[in-house]
Amino acid sequence: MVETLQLLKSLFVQLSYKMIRPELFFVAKKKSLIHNLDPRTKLIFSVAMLILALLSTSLTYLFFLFIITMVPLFLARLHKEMLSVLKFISLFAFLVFLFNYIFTFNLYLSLAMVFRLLIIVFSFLVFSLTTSPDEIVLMLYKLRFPFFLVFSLSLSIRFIPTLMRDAINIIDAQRSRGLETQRGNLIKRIRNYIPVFIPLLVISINRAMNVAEAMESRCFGAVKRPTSFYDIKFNKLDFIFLFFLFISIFFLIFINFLLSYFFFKI
Amino acid sequence: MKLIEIKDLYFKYPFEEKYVLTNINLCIDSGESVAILGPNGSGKTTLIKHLNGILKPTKGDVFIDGKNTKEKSVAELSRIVGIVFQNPDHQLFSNTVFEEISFALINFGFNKEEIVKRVKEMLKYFNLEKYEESSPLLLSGGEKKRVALASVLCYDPKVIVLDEPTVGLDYFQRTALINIIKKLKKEGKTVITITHDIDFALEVAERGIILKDGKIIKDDLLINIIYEEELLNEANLVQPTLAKLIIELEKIGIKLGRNITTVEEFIRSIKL
Repeated sequence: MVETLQLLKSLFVQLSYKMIRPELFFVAKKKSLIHNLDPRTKLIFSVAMLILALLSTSLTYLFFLFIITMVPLFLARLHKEMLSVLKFISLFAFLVFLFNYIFTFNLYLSLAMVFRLLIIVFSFLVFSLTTSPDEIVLMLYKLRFPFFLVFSLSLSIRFIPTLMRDAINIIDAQRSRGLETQRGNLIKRIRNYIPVFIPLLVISINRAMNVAEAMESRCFGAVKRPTSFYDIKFNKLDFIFLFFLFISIFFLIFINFLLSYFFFKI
Repeated sequence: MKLIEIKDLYFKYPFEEKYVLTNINLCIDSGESVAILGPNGSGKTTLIKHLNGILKPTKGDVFIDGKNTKEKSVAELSRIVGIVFQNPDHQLFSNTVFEEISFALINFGFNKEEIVKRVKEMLKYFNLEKYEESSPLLLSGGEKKRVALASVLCYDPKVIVLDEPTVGLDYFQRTALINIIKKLKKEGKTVITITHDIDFALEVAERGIILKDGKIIKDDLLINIIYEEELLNEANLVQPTLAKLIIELEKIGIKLGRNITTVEEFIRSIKL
């Protein structure tokens, strides 16, 4: 138990240190086929994989689906990122496996569930790791979302690392005044975080107000549809990618059909 | 007596490759007043976070009052080393100034009468009596700084570390802060100040440590440091006008001696 907690803690620390480095949080400026795709194409891919993963619990089917999900990740040369994410979700994967096995005593089903988790995570990894927040914002803008909503989204993404940095500073300051967060029972421990949350909230509200003022003084909201400096559009590559995606979807449905036809249980 | 001893300290954040601090060797005796100077991002704040164990060395050791920080908790070390961080907004959270100042005392388990006595003392010391029942979040910048300082000084640590105390203070508040630090020095406290402001450093400290890219590039008396123009340029520091004047006067043959720090002393030496 203690070891699990320590593992969780180190994962959190790792995550928070990653968060305070914006260059890790945001998309690396790597260029590959996948990075150049239209974000809408990548979103279609991710959503398609998500739906396909929920269609069946057959291990064979999910295994093939997993392989198809991995193709764009390898094309985008994201092995390193993939491994670190794998490390991060391995604990959850293990828990998924464990609980499924406890409740069903079905090894194949439990493994299939692990694959389903991996497919869902990795398919969205293709989207999130190769699409910069700017592109996501552009995409939403193109999909006719109101500009102020799209902009607030991009702004909130941009402020996550800043918020993490503030949180670490506040924790340091309060620990210097003798705050021990790991002391007492559960309720006491939650109460221990009050000296961290209140300054964080105050700082965030203050900052939001400052940003709002700064933006308004630069004419934010003057027109309904402001100029977008960059543009996204479908090109040849997107159509090729989507073509392969449809082929693989048909291939998967075919496998699914075969499996059910021959009454394979796995 | 050695109060703080840093031996071959190397530090990097986990999952990063670059060392933030490299090969820091430092001894600070009881009662000394030290200014840590250096450009932004030179590792000043990272260095002081080692003094109460918030950060533990990657390589090397930090000893506070003879105790290795690796073996002690932050709460234990904070009893000896009180750090006042740069931004008071990062620590004010209570409903009243009284509660804010008593926070550390409650954490360290002082008894009730002692807490009331000490908080009242601090309110008087920092001229905050009229704000006792008001919210610390609604105070002005300088007052917030004073509350933050009071909330650390209240438990009487041997070493007081101030991170950029002059940022956002006007001249009057700055002078008040200088007087407070001078008073603390008189009481025998060890005061470590991080600052960019070498004039301020001259007022509150004798010894200067210049940090650059995580290395100590100079550890000397401030009165010697202010005459080293190249060194100051390298560390993005502004040479005090008085030092510039004395150097220029030396060039035209007027030697006034290099132990002058205030305008009054300067005038006196001219009269002689």
